[in-house]
Amino acid sequence: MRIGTGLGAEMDGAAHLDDRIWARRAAQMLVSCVLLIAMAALVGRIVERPELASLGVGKVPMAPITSISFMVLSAALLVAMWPVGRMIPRFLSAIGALIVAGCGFVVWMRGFDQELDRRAEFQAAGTADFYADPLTLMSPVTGALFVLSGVALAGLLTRRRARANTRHWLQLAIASGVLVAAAALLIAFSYALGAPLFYDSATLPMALPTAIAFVLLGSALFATAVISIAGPGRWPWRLADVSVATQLRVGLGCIVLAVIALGYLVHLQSNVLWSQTTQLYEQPLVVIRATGDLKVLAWRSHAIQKELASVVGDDVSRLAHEIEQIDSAVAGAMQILQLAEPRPSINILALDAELDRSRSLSAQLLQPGSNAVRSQLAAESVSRARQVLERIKVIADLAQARAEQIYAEAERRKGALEAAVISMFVAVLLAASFVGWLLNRQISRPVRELTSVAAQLGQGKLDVRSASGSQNEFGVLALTLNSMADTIRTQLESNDQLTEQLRRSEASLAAQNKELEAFSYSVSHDLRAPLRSIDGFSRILLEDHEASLDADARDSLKRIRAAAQYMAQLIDDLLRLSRLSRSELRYERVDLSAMAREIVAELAEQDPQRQVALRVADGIVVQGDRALLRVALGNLLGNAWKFTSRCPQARIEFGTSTEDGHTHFFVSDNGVGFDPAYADKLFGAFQRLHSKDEFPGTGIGLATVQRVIRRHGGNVWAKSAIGEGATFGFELGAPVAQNFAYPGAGQ
Amino acid sequence: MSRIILLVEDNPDDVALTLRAFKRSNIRNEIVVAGDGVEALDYLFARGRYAGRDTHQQPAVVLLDLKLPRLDGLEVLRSLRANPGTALQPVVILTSSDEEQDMVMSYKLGANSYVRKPVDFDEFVEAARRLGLYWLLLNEAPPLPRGAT
Repeated sequence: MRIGTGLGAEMDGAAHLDDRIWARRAAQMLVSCVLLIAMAALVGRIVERPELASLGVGKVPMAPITSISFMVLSAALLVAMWPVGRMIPRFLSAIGALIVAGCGFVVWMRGFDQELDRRAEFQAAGTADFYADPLTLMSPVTGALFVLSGVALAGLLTRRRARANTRHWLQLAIASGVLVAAAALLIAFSYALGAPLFYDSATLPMALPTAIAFVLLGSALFATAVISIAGPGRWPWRLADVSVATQLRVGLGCIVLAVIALGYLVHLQSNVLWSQTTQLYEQPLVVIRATGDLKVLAWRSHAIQKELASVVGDDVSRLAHEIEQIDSAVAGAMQILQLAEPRPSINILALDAELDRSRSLSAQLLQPGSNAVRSQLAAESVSRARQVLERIKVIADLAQARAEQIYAEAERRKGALEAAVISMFVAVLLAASFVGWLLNRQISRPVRELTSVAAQLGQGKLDVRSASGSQNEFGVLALTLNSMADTIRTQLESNDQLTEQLRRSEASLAAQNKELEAFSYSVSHDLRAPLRSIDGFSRILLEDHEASLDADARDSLKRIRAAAQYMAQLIDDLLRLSRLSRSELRYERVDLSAMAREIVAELAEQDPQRQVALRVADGIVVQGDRALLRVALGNLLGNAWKFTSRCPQARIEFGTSTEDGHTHFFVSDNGVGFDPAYADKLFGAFQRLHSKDEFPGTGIGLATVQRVIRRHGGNVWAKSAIGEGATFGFELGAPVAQNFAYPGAGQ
Repeated sequence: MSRIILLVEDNPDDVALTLRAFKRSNIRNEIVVAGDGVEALDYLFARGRYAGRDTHQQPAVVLLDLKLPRLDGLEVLRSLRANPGTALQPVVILTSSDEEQDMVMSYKLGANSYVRKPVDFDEFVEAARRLGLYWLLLNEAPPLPRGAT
């Protein structure tokens, strides 16, 4: 899966990578579900299996236009998650979102009243199943939710890389997504509880699959917008904080419980309240239709009777029969009208009387008789009919007025019911929030307090203590934190004491070093002066009194001089060794291969008659103090040179080997070697394993080597057997930024 | 004109050996020996024991030991360089020390040369011979400062 492209993929750090991948996958899955639900509903419509579109037989199905809108919107959202930079799909996606939003807006604007009229028309026309009409449009609530969804998606599509001013669009998208999901959730709950109030009022109802699809779509929009908006610390991500999440969980739990309880209450009441309200709506519609019929019938009866006055013969019986039928129809309409006025009114009673007279007149007209009598009866019937007509007009007007009153009453009661439910809902929400807040005080406040205390302790404010006195785990945690802070403070104080002690011993060490330095200085000066006298005066003695000295005396004086000069050499070496420890290390890049060749070249120059086979590995480069490494390598190669002096085919090698990941350097020769039993004495100052006569030297060389290598944080060792040459290996430690140097050294 | 060498040295053995070395090198110039720093300054500034000495006759070279009683060699050098009359006086540090800090301080204070006394007397004689040749014959003495008294 590609991360770092498309919506919601701007990474501020790897910490939330998993969250983002998770959110992105979830969003894609949710949108795919929406697409499937919409397609299933549409297919259900086409193959005449409405249960696919309604999730159950006899329920409200999803309208085809709703299905298509969902498909367009979810396809657009999937496209929006594609990589940024493909402008055409994003453009098409935006177009789709806007079309759906516009369509939703039109439906929404059609309004409740128009839909009500439409429903009334269907009922008046006696259409058996209102919902079976394939032309049924989506519910205005659905339309409104499509508007919100379209706006949210358009907001998401405004997001561009590295452009901060699109943040408010994303926040709008988040808010819209949450609103869509919440509203749809409420409707889905209504379905689940069988309380039709929130999905089926006087308007077109919203189908259950539509509600579910909106819940999924809203969640997907929310998730996509959240991963787009930014990284940690921004407000949507703060929902993941423990304290906020606890609050949310508690609050959400309370709300869910509250909605279930509320739904149950509404469900209990719905049989009574809802049927009453529904009846109230249906009654005026019937009455209004009945009054219309009544007027028409009465007028027709009047017209027939007028016609009757001028006809004779068989026509009379036909017309009279028709009047009879009309009168009975009028009587039927009257019964309907009584619904509007439950108590029999004077008007109705008078009309009943008029209708009775009219009926008896019609009966007499049907009897055979003279034309004169019939004319008189017809005239009377016409005047009766006019009176009936007038009474019907009065009654119809009254009935219509009454019907309108009932309609208004129904509206009022529906409004009151809705208001009651909504205020109950709000009250429950408030109660849930309050309970959440109380629980939050119990749970997340100590968490926050402890977090703050821990943060301050972390900043080094060690006097801060948690004041929590509760007996639960938080109290225990607070006590632990406090005692931890105490321990840290005590340790820091003892550290301070240790530091002070260290400082003091460092000062005394510095003083001792100064003394040692003064001592070295004195040695350098004062020890050499007498030696010079010994040598000088011995020389003078030899020079001035050569004649008076015998051979033994001269030999003794020569021995004295040699000893004095050797001691001077010893003093010089000792001082050099002590200086090695005092000078400051200056780390730089040192090419040991080149240095080794140089040293051997110098040795060869001093000793041109020697034939030595030298092998130096190339490219041995280390970090170290050039001067000191020169001394160490000089001593090692010098030793190799010296101890191979009796070898006819001398061989000296300088190279590296790697062991356990450490690089070792070695200098090996095929010289006289040494007895491995004394290998540990080799590096001591003035330790010699060969006599001075055999190989000259003061025995300070390897001590010097060891000191140099140790000052570099490394180690040195030797391997040999008598007559088999010797190998001296060493390794260097990693360069350190600052090396301890004795105060006053190197100035 | 045979010029003077001022040897500032507290160790009588070293004095004897130095004089001997000069003698063996056939350097016959007058060698004035100062046993400590104060005496050396007295001589150079013509005061104390040397009051009234003609300061126009300054030594061709001062052979100065570093470790001296009362006033050490570096202090002597500092005073010489601070005084306009002796600021250009050639001074050779002749000492047992080969401490880096001594060399650095000596050169910093304006020593003209730094020679370490070898223990081997033969080498010492050779060093003395070369010093004498260089400072008495080869080297041109600095001009006398104006208004010097």
